[in-house]
Amino acid sequence: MSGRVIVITSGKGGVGKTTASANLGVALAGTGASVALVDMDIGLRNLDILMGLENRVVYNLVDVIEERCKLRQALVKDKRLPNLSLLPAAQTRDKSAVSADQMKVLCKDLSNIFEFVLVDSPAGIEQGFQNAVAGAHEAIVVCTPEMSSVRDADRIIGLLEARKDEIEQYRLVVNRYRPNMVQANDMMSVEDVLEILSVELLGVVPEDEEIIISTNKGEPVSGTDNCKSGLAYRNIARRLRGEDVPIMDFSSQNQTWINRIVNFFSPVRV
Amino acid sequence: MSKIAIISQPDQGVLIDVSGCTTLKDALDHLSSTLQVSNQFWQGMKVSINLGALAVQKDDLLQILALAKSVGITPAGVYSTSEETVSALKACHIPLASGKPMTLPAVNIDSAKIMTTEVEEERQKANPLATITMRMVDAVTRRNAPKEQPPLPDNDLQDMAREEFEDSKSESLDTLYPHVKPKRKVSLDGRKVQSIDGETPKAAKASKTAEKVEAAAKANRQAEIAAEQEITVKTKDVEVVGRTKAIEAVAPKAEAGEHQVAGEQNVSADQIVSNQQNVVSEQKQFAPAVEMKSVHVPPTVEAIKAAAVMAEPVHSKTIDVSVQTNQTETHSREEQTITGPHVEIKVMTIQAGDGMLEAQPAQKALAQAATMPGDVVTHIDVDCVLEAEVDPTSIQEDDVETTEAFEIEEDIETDTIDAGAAARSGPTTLYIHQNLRSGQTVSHKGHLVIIGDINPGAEVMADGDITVWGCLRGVAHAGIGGNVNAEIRALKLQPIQIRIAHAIARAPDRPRVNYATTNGPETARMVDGKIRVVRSRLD
Repeated sequence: MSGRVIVITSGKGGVGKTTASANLGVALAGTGASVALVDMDIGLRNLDILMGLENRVVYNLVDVIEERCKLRQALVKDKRLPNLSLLPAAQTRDKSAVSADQMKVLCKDLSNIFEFVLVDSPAGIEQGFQNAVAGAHEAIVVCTPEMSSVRDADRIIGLLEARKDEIEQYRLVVNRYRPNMVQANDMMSVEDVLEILSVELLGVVPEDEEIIISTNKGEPVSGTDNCKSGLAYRNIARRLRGEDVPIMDFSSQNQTWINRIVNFFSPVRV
Repeated sequence: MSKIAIISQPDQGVLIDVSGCTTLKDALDHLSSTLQVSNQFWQGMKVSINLGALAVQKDDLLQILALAKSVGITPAGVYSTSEETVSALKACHIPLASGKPMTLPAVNIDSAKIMTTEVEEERQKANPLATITMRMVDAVTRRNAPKEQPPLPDNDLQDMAREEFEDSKSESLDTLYPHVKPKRKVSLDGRKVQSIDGETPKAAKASKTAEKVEAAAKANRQAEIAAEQEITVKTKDVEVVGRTKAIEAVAPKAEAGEHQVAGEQNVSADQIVSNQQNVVSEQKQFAPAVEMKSVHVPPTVEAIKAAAVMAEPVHSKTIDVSVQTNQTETHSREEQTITGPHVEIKVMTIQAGDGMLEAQPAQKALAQAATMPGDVVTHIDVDCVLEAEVDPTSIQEDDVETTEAFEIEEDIETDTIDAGAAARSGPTTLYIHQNLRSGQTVSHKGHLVIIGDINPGAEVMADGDITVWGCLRGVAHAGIGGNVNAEIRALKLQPIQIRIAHAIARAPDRPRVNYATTNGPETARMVDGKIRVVRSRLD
């Protein structure tokens, strides 16, 4: 078995790479696939916290690479989903502890065990990023509808294009999307972003307060129902598995009762 | 490499590792903050610095050197892989360290206890870690809970003890003291020297002991152990030393669990004095730590005063008393107080002219006895043995002193104190006066005391105990060398993980928003192979 190694990257920090990794991992595992999440943000590890697994971490990725433990020892199994595992990053080391070749070997090993290997890339385009994409076959570029994020995503896509031999496919996830602001013309729409980046769209995730709550709880939103961001991540996971799921229609959603009444009476519907 | 690591091993000195820093400025900042943590600590230490691949100019090196000098250290060596740094080092006449720098000790966790994430087996296997969950034991329940004491009745112990004496198996002086797990209530009372007035106030109480003593005497006569010299034993000495012996003599049974007898014996001295031979043999029996022939230190008033000072709850004094004997040898004693949060052990090392005598094993035995979990020790004093030639008047004089001195002591010792947290002798203690932030590591071969917080993401490791005067929120690993008696204690114990020797405990899966709440000082220790967190008694 050879699983798909997908790197989740963005260039800019704070756009939700780690959140997306955790949620996609949970969503994919929820569909029945075996999934490994790899935190490549060595020195600034966070994925374990989002997954609520930080107290179970004994060994980490650097230990595996430096052969202080076996790969299976370092994998931390998820609390809820038995087919989801996390390979945590080292917190007391830095990016230079790992080389691209070592990562290739590691991703190869992981893809022999798991159907999906999701690699959470650090921000930036330096060695951490180079390592993260080293073993990947596909990439998910996360960006928010802001100019700075879009520009960084553009840079990343340029770097990914330069690696055409290894990265077969790269798709875009627009994160922290706020339909209300888009309607008010205060935020770039998905179309605007795609206009600039001209890449395949994998999904749109709305801004959601639940994300903050879930981060503190250590339970990714895609594992819970009745939460629109969770639904968005589950849809992305289904698209990753090849299903044809339409992009969520935000214009009808995210409206309060008052908005609806106001819209009903207003001459121009927005 | 870690962003910064302080690796300390008493035999090799201390290594400040900043090789993980990506920029020179980072490294210099770390170095300066590390060097300034504690002036006291660095003095007399062999400190080396690992600069890794950082290219350091001569000016910066001089800056480091000046900084080091200001806290009183001269770097013993600097590790570097950068050629530029090496040439700068040469220019500054700083020795380049050879060999490999010390590395952080590998995490040594029992593989059986490691969470295995075998994909194939994961459905069948329960997570072993789940079985080692931390339990917050409330102080009240802890107090009400039955003490972990093997349920052997008194009789058993005494019978066994007698058997052993009759078999005269107790003569070997150099056997290691077996582990004792006593709940020992040590009472020192040296109110009277029975040798003088021949009173027997404790005879009735100690009838069992008397039997033992006699049996022991016989046994030892058979063993022909130095009985030529007349030796008077001062009550206090016998009693105290007797305790030491008692540990050994009763050790096999003590292991089985009954310790009260051993601990609370008051060897009444009249029995000892009634028969000099008895005394000798009893000393033999009860003071294996002190070899008969060589230890004849007359307890001078001065010495006893010193002991009395030590008995007062003012600790960490070192008193050296030189005592002149009539053998014209200089005997010096060294008193050492080991203090833990609840425990105080005093070991007086007796040193004769020809070097260390049996003091070392005594010390070892005491330290060992004190480290046993569930132990209740207040004070352990090892004192000297009187010599026969000392004239009675001087002894009387001493008696008076002893009386006063040890009455005070007795008061102190009526308390039973949980000695599970006993400090151990041996390894040195590293003090770090600093907050440890995410990514920082401190490892020390010995006890580790952090005055400050340990934040999530930081790791501390120590061979011995870890004490945090602050909040422990990161990962702490005590007893990395396999010492299951190591403890972790903190004012606020909110760790991500606790590791003691080969065991791991993880924090309960609780929401992590309320970091400010606290349960007060808590201690984590191993109980029955599991890590338990106990609220520390504040009284």
